[in-house]
Amino acid sequence: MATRKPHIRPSSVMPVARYDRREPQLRDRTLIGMDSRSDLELWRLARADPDAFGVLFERHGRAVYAFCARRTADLALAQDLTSIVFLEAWRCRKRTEITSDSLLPWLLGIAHNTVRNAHRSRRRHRAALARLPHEPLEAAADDVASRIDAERALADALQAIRTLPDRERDVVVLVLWSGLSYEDAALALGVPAGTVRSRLSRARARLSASLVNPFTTTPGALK
Amino acid sequence: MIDPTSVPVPSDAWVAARRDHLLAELRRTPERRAHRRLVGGMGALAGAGAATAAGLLIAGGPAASTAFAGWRAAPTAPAPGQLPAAEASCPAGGPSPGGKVGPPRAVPPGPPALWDVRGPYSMLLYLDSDGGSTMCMSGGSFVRVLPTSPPSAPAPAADGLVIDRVAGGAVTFVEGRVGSAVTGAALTLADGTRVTVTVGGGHFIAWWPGSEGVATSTETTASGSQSGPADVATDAMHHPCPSGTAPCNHVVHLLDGTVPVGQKGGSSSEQRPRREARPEPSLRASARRRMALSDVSVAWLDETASLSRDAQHSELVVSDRVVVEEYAAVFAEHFGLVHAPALQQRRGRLIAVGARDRVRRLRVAVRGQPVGRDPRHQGLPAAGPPRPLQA
Repeated sequence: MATRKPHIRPSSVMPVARYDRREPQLRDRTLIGMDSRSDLELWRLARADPDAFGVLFERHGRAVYAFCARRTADLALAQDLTSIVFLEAWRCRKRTEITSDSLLPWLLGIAHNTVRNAHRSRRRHRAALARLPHEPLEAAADDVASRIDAERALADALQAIRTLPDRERDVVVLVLWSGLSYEDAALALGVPAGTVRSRLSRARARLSASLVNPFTTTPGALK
Repeated sequence: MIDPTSVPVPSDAWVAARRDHLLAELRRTPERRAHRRLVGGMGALAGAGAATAAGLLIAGGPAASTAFAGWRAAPTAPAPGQLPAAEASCPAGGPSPGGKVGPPRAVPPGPPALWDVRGPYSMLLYLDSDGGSTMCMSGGSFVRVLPTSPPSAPAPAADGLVIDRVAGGAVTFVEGRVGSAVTGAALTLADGTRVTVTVGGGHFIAWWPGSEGVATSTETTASGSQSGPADVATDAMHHPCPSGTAPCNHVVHLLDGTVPVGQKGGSSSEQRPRREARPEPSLRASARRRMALSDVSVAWLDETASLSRDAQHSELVVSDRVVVEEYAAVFAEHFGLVHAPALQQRRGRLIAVGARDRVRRLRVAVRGQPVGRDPRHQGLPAAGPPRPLQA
């Protein structure tokens, strides 16, 4: 199946949004998520400044990780995929213009494709993944039981929507589980917002018919 | 109702570590070179793929196992003092009396009929008077005794070989008989590994890390060699320890002279657990498949999954009336598991965490323990610190 490109468009077509051209600032790296600059601003800075890109990771890394975890029900795999998503985002930063206020829909669009091709993605970035710092076994053992519980809950949730067509499943994960608005999900999937609504409606109908109700959140609730 | 929002939130430390790794990667290579690297990387994928496939093949077999680093596919000459030490470490004395609980399983009296040395590991074969046999494997910090019943398969042809017993798991043991003309033999495993067996007195023994099965056998006689599909007795995989028998209770012994808690007690009926101490139905259901339920039961932890890039976990569902004994620590240490902090019991589950790709299956022993009305016994008992093991 051909994968739709998210809203990645050449800068020659998409007008560049305005932003303040201030120099990247040194910041305390220990203050995760304390940077007040907007995504748009950071994205512009990130073209030449990896530190700005690091701030974007701090800001959206958890959401991307959660998306990957929900799509794979494998927390270890989700960690690797999260890194891959940002490596891919960095790779195409110079030919990508962001038009929304948040970078998250675009990142989830990359995550969407990365998860679909998880094996290929990991193979492509295997060298980078191999350089990840090793985690002590004792650290991995911490709270392992709750992690296993979470993976099982995620697997159950995935199983519940397994019968849905891929397109409807993607909408369920993005809108209902990841908390994107219809518009942001449309950006992530590269489809009109109306298509997102209709797919979600069909997904609801199918799951209601099968007596499965995975809808515990409302659109945009987790934003 | 399914709650899909239960994704554990990564800590700030995790985010910081991943961010630093990401930034290091971004600074690692300039953009143009990165692009070239990507193209080159894709071009190299074909070759890398082949290498990966080969690596996977090896990873499943004993050659790649890191749990028994000194293991050799062919028997080695024993180091000075290795055989006497191995013989001394195998429990001496007569067979343990019947009953559910008894003294540690002993090997039959007398010298071993056959010995097989592979690096630092020794396996001795003792023949029982009833036609059965007992294998005693020792190395590092452990001793494992495997009693087997008399073979049921007919004797092999003069130039043939028959495998009478296969005990698989983290380590696979094989025992069998060879014809009178056979002077040597080898087994080819399913992954292609060729394991030379030790032949003597009409018997042969061998073992290898992992659970690869036997594909073919090669018998050598004075007139040459012949190969063919391995002749495995129909009951070779039969569990040597039926439920409620003493041998099952005593497959592992610590080398520091101590007796694991689950082995204490005599063979009298007073030591047998009360009926109400039997595991919950859910445990019994799973036990029918893999566990030999007795006072000290043998369980397979084969629900293995990755936990992180470096770790994996294995899990066994147990009831709250089952505690993990020091057997777990023995195997955990030997197979590279982090045993003391990572053997967790939570809501009736035993979870072991270990290095990834090192443990394919973990064998532990669990002991049914009566749970009275004492509120102290309502929860899961703590496993306690592992005993120091002496080599």
